[in-house]
Amino acid sequence: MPLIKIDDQELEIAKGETIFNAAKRIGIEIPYYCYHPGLKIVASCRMCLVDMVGAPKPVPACSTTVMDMPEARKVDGKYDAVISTTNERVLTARKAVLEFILLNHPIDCPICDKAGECKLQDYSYEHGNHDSRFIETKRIPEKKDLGPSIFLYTSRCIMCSRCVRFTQEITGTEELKVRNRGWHSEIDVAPGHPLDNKMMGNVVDLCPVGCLIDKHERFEGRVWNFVHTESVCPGCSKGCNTVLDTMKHQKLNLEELVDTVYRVRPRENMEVNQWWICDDGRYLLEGNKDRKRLHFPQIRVNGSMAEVSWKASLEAAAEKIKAGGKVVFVGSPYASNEENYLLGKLAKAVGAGVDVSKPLMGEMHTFKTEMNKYPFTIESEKAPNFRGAKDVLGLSSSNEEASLSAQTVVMLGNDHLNLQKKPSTLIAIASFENAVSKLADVVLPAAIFTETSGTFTNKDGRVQKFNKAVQSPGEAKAVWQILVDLAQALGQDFYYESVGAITKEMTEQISVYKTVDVSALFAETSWVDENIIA
Amino acid sequence: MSITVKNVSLPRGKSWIDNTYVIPVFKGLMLTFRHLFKRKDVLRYPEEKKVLPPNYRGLHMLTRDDQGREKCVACEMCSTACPADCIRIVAGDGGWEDSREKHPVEFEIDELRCIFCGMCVEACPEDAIDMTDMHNLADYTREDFIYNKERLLGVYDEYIKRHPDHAKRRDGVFKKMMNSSYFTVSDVEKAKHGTGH
Repeated sequence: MPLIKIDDQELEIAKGETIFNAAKRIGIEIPYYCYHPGLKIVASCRMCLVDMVGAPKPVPACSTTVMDMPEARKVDGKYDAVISTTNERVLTARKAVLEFILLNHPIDCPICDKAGECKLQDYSYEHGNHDSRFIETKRIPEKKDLGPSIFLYTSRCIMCSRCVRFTQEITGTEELKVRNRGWHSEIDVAPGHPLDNKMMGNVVDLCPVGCLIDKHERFEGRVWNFVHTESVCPGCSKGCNTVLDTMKHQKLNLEELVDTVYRVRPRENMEVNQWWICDDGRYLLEGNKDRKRLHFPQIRVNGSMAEVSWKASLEAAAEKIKAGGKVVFVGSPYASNEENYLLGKLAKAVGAGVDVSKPLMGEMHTFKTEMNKYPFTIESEKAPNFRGAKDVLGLSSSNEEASLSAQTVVMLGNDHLNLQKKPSTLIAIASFENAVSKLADVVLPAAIFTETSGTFTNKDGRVQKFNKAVQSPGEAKAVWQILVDLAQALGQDFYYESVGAITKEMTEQISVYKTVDVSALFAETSWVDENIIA
Repeated sequence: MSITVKNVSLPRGKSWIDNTYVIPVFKGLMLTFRHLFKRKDVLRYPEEKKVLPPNYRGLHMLTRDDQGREKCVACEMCSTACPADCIRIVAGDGGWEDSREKHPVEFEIDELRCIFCGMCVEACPEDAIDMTDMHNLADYTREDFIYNKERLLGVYDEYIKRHPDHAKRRDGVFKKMMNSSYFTVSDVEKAKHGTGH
């Protein structure tokens, strides 16, 4: 175990551990562009240069390791390496590197979408020169359209090659390449082979400057206005950890206050999704924009739907459930554990049967390369919580066809279900206008996953919490609130203060969830940006 | 606290002459009469109007570049700097071929919410937003005070007709202010130590 000294702190590092990681461990920040924990180290940006006693010139911290020195060569008789990250030599080196990087940079921060979270801005402010000594004409290459969702602003590129390594090492698709050499080098795709794979959105997060820009997010908002909320992707049963960036958009006449999710970013979780998410999850909410949301409760009067108040709709629903005949409450693999648990509890209280609908099945996709330690898999089960729904409802599989033949069916948000034959009475708790809500007798408008909190259980049994990021449109309510109101309309004594109370009760009631630590799940988590785009 | 009655007497003058009020009235009229022949300190607004300095902070305008397009690139620096939160911008694509690819699709300033501090002008990296000498804003509804992009560009067109040399004039004033002794560091230092002014 080599003993090293970084600035004034002594520490022992493991064999093969880089100076960069050791410094990060003890809280010393070294600036970097090309380093990424998930990618191979190339040390091409030279931003992480540190000074090492005995080395003829500054060394890159991201790629330098320390070995045990023979006794005679130890510094001060005991250190295997003595490193400075703040001395004159290091600061001069950083300044020089930044000056080189900025030679051809257009400095078009006002129109760049990265401004505000750009490493080039941050480091220029911290370490760089205020003026450039470059008096020649800047080389400003044209911007390019790389593929269906990515623009390349070639002039902003600093040649860190993170995106190139990503397509080589993580996806294995190898669309991006560095073309030409030296002064003329630029990122490019081969003609006829655009950047088009199921994980291409990640290169935008990877880019430390505003060179790669997502077409979906372009000019949508400035990053310093965003509010970040931790969430979980509902795209498949993998349960990738995400961050939702939202912004309140206020019209000046104060009438309209809209908050929208502007982008979805991956959140680091080494056990689930490492640093990435797939594009299916990233652009999931984009697909919802064209769909019609249900804003108000509706009941069927003389064959056509009429918008009514919550009270009237809940009374109508309660009346239909009480009417008799076989009643089945159908849970959903798209709803959270709490919502399914509450549905099960209500069904039990009114003596109805429970079931869960089948999730949509799709294609399974695995990105496997020789260099990638963690192959990224997009699961075939396109629902976030099939396992959790089965667990909390106490079912082993879905019995959809049989339940739909019951006289009265209460359906929990089943967007994908292509209902052919309508049960004689159908009560739908739905967010979007779909096949179920069109046939239903009572429609109760529900919030989607961005508008409420709860937990999903992924395919491996990991219970993960997602948080409320935006307000529901119209009079739509969270599903758990609708179920509590419905229970009260049915004469049941249901009362919960928050989602956390339901989670707590659920973990006490459901035997397999006994080990879930609710306080840890609902603790206020704080995180720094560094952990998300490492 | 209970309500009580307090009797007050009429204030009286020092002598009986004051109490007749005849002499004091003439004294007052003399003062008025004297002022008829003095230099006038007020303008007969609105017939006469004061020429305001070029750095006067009045109604906003969106300036145009030499091709007549708005200079604004929708960077939202002004709305970020605005302490009254009265600027709303929706950015849009100016077209792939255009040299300035980002531009404001919507640009609104609520002049009723604005406190005319000029921070938006300070923050603008493109000199796209500026302030005019127009201060006599009047309208019928609150909505009329929400100036949209076309209206703000119209303000520029109107203002530049009156002051074709606006940019030069404003820069000149700033330079003069910078050069004047009033703003020099040494004066401030002197004032601090109680030796100056």
